[in-house]
Amino acid sequence: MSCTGKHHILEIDELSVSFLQYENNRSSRQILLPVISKLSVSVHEGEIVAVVGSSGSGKSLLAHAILGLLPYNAQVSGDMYFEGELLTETRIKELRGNQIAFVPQSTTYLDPLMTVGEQVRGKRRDAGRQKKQRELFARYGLGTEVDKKYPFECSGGMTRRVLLSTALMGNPRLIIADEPTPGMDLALAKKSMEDFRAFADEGNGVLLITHDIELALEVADRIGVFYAGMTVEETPVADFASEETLRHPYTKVLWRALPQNGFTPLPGVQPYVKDMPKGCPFGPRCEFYTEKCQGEIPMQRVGCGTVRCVRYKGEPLAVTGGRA
Amino acid sequence: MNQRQKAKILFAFSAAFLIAVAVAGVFCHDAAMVTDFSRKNLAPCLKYPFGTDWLGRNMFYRTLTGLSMSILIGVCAAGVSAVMALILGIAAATLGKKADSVISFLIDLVMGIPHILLLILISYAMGKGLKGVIVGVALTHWTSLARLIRAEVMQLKESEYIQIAAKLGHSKLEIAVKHMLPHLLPQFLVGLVLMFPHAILHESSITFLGFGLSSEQPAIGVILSESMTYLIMGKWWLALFPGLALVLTVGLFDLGGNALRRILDPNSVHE
Amino acid sequence: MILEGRNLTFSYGKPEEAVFANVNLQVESHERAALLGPSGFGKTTLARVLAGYLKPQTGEVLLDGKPLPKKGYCPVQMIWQHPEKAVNPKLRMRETLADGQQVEERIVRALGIEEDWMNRYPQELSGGELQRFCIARALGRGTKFLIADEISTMLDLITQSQIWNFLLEEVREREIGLLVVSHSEPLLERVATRRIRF
Repeated sequence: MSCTGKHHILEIDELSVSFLQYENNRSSRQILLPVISKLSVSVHEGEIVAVVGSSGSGKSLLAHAILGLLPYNAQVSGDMYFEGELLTETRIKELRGNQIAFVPQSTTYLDPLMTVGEQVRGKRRDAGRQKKQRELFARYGLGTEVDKKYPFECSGGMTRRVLLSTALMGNPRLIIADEPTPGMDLALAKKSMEDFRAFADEGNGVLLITHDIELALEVADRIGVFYAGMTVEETPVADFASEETLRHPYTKVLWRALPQNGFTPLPGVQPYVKDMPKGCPFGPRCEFYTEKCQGEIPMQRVGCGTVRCVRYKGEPLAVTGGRA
Repeated sequence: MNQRQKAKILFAFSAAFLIAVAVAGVFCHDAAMVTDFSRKNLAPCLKYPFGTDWLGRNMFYRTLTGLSMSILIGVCAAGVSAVMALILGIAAATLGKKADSVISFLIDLVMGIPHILLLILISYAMGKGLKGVIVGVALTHWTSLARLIRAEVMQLKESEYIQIAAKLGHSKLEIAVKHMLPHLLPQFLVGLVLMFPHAILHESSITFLGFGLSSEQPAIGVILSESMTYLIMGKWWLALFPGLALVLTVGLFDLGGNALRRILDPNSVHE
Repeated sequence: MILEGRNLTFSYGKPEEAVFANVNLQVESHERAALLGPSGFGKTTLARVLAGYLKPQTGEVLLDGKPLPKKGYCPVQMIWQHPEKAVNPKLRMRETLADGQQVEERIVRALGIEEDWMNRYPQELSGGELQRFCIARALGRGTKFLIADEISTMLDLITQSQIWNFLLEEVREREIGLLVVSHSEPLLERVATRRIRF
């Protein structure tokens, strides 16, 4: 379905996640808060795809939804396919940790009372896993002395490599990385992303979830732009070279707001989930706002990307269940 | 019906029942004292649901009055104790290392001595009676809540918004009232309500042992200890109903307190 | 006015594992200085020392030659990276804003804060909306220097440009000295007039 025509590793079609919550601190009335509505993104062989959205826009929940780690009060709808196969709850349990690996945000995901070597090897202690762990550590320049270290003794960069090694222990096809580079400057972040690049180049996929569009532009092949819980556009990175090649009005505004492209602000704010406008969430701030924007807006294929905007007349997207 | 609604109903029910008992007991106080030898030692019947004792006193009224007294003493003593806990807990966390060591030592000291022993000691030293019981219960029950509040304040002190408020020129007192109290209030309220059953039980215990309220008061502890003599004579109702009523009261306070915690606790907020 | 750090050393634990040692720097009121240093240098720690949140082991922070006041409104205010940690979750935004020192209505409006947000609790606002409150709160009458520690790192680009465009205008008008910590080179290109490297 994409211009590359490659095999889909992951395809997410109109994923929605809502939370059943009490209205406020004291109230006993419960309401359904739609945190993600209509998120569509796909990852092909050999690709790093970045989903970019501001903090608090619910993008971290995407990783948790794919891995089946959402809390009990979450409600999920929409379909996810892995290697062309529908992801059900039982299938996710089989896949995660093996075919699908997760690289979490921070060091707090490591057990502070266990040496990192042990954590990477996991529960089973056979020689095969031992060897694999050593190989992975050697590949990322972690010496034998690191095996015996506890998480607090590792520097930020070491921890990142340990987390990545943990993810690679099970021969995954897909890595989901949630903000893997917080607090790093761009040079260091890019360096850390080289490991992901190498992994993708072996024919695997990486889904990078980040708020940092500058990082995404540096390392990703395609970018999914996330606004108020919705993907409004999915586009090859090359299209970000100029404003004209971008499609959705929000992406264009985003481009203009980049410090190197004018730093031009657009007034207004992303709507809060409780008072989401009908139809396009960007509508009220958009210069092309019309009545049509208040209706249902389908994702359409335009050129090499997809866009969710009534101003385009492209091919409708047909969900194929994974195969391109 | 969701968890929060259930918790609210439970809390309202326990609160209503306990208030009703407390108020009713005050009104039956005189009726509970009436002796009438024409109706002594009656087993429970429709007219006297809890029976009567060897002086012909109505046990239902006596039990109600005793419970009411226990609840009022419990509320009073637990209230004093909880306020002590709040003040000492905040003081330990904010007044520097020395104050903290002194208060922590006090907490360990009080916690280290068996509750009932310390209670008897204090109550006896204060000359027993109402004053002795209230002071005794108040001085022994504040420790665990104080420790909880101290830990909470210590954590709050490290939070960024409290540090920012200090740099914005607000005094320690202003910060404690505006920024810390809203966090401490739920802990305080739940701690207070869960302290009631302890206070009531301890009041009854030391009264039963003879170190609490004087024997002419219709207190639950007095009723129970007096009934011991008559129990072997087959007057089972003298101990059973007051005992059960005490257990019910304590249980209801516990239920109400836990319901309140579920309403206020942010961790169970979305269940 | 001049904000000056003289011979600053700071360590969280053992003195020999200092985050930074013997640092000297000066920022003037008309400047917008960027703080640059390798990863792990402790730019955030230095920012907190300069704003008076942390006490250095050696050296001192001086404002026009005098140490920062221990009590009362601090003329050096800092805006933190994570706005959701910098506001009290139990207070409505109106009360959080009232913590600031007579923050002008003009500032609140220029930051795009809507009246409706005032009655909400922090959990009901996004990071970008909260950060606007944090900025307004730090811009009270007595603020002479502002330290911005990665204030827009976690926000979307549009909010970032809104906030920075406002801040640049405001510090220019009121002659507030600005010290910026950011890892984004293009952003510093836009906002900083001078770079301090370590």
